[in-house]
Amino acid sequence: MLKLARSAVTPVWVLLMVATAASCSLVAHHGIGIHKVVTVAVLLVAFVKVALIGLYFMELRHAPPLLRHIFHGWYLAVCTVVVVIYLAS
Amino acid sequence: MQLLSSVGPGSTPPALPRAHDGVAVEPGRGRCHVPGEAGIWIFIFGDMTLYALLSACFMMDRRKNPGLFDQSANTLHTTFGAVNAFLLLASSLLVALGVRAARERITRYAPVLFAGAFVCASGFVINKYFEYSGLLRAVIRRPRTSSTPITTSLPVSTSRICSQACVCWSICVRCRSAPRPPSAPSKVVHRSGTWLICCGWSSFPCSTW
Repeated sequence: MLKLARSAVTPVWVLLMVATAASCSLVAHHGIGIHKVVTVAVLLVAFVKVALIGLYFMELRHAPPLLRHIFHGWYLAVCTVVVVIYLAS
Repeated sequence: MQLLSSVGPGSTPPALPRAHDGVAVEPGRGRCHVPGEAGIWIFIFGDMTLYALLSACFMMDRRKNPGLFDQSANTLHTTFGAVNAFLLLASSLLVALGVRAARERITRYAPVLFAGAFVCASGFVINKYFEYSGLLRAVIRRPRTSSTPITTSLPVSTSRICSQACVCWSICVRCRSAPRPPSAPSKVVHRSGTWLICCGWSSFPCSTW
């Protein structure tokens, strides 16, 4: 069991849990949409989590470059669009 | 073929070379491989396009009335959302470790880990039941006089969790099935990447939203 737990996904999973708890804490303390900086921070944390899930839980870090680049391009593009439109509104 | 032809009828098949996390590496392809099966990525990229368009449309609509969207966002049940996120992350870890156990042929732990993922998936459904039943009761008791929109992702969540539950169940059944012939590597080992991707993909909504 210890051999399994030493997998690379375990520390990433801990990081994801901490990031989720941090986002929840930020929302609980500041509310949603009140402070733009907080909302942008939560959005950025969410897209970092997307990247980690893709790379580690969906094994994209061992994928061919084309697949990896499409994935990186997707979350960077969506993150940029969401954050830019949010800041512009 | 050379690899398989060297295996006698009663001997243990040699393990494929492994990269990190027990990922089997096909001979001559180095560490680079398509996770799971190529076909699943067509479905996932279609889903990703849908999410990208959904996000852009949502943000464009938000521009028309940011105040109303912020007011509505503050009425969401973040506790239910947080519990769902933790349950999905926990089930993803259990499936990832279960897949690794299957690849490493540690058959003792794999069914337990998949069963744990199934329990988390059931917890997700129960949590959704409480969340949506509360919302529905509130709607029935109070006619919609305010302009607060009630957003729901019930069909999406339900289909995702059902697919995740089916995946866990099928892996459990495969792990408990009759022992494989020694010269044929288990389908669980070969196909496990696809299940891992499906479960990883089901965690995307909890990460993004």
